[in-house]
Amino acid sequence: MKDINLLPKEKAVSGPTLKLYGYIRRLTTATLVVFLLAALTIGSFFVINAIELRDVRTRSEEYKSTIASLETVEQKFSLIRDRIGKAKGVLSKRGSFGDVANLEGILEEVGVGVTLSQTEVSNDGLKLSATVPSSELLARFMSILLSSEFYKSVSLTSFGFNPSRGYLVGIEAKNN
Amino acid sequence: MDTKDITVASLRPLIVPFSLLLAIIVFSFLTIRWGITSVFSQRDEIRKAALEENSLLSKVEILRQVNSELIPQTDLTVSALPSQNPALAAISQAKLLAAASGLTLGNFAIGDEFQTSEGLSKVDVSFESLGETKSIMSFINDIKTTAPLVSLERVKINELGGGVGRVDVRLVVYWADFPEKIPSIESPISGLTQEEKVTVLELVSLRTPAFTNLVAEPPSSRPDPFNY
Repeated sequence: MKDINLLPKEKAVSGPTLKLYGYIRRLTTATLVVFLLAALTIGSFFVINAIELRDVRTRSEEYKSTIASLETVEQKFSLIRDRIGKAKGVLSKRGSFGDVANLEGILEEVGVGVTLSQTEVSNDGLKLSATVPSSELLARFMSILLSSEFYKSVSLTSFGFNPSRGYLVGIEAKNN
Repeated sequence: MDTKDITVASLRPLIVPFSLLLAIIVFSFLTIRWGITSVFSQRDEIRKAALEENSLLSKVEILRQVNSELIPQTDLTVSALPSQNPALAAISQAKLLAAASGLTLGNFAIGDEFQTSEGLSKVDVSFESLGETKSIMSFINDIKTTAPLVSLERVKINELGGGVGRVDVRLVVYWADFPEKIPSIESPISGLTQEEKVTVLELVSLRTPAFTNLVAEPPSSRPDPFNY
């Protein structure tokens, strides 16, 4: 039996239009599917990230409350650090103590004989007046002073001789 | 069927479905783009939060370590460089050292206070002594082993003969105000450097004075001398 089409010819949808309609419908379905998949994926990432962010923030808050409980420790640590920083400045100014220790060492090395009549130690260095009974001892004394790494320069400021006492010398040693 | 059969009139039924498709595409594009931007923005936030978390964790670990190793030495470091003028404490230390070396100190003088550019305050303390030159030198060397921190401004030893000398000593005594700003909880801290640890060891090895602050004695009752 032949197919009877009761739709008026002028109202019927043409073949190409129907084909186009089919394409559009498939495209729409595909777009919706892609959108749903993407939305699901993005939504999952969003939820996972939100949970991770919440966990990180929770841990941070716990650490903050631990730090708050250690507030006294932090204050004392800051104080110690402050003292260290300021003490460094003072410790760098204590070179004169080294002058005295160094002089003590030199006199011990020279041995008996050198008598210091006047010694002055300051931030600039060392000034001394000494009586040395013999030229050999004087040479030894000067040599030890000159070879000391503590002093940058050693100069003889005065020199005299007393037959009963020996050589009277004035020495200035600078460490800067 | 011929393409000339496709006319504008024949395409009219496709307007609605095509518009719907277009709307769905645009909506999907915008939504997916917004979603991706939000996810990346979240990752950024997580990265920043993780950095903050690591910084806080590091601070907690350092504070716990410092609490056990360093905090017990706070008083020693403070006595090395106190917050108030320690001239009397320095004199007390000098007297104790002198007594141990068989020397007697006298003619004490305390100068005016000065501020340095490094945030320190200082004052000169001078005194004289008489005794064996060797003991004097040993005494001067020992001064640097005591707290509070002092530097040797000048030492003048005049030999009087027989190994006995008179010494004029001028020391500089230092102190510094305590810090006023307390670090915030979020501010990071770092542990002590090797150089700082060496300085701490040097400070805590100093002999502390018997007192740091002189406190006035409160009034006390006087016993009746006639009550036997």
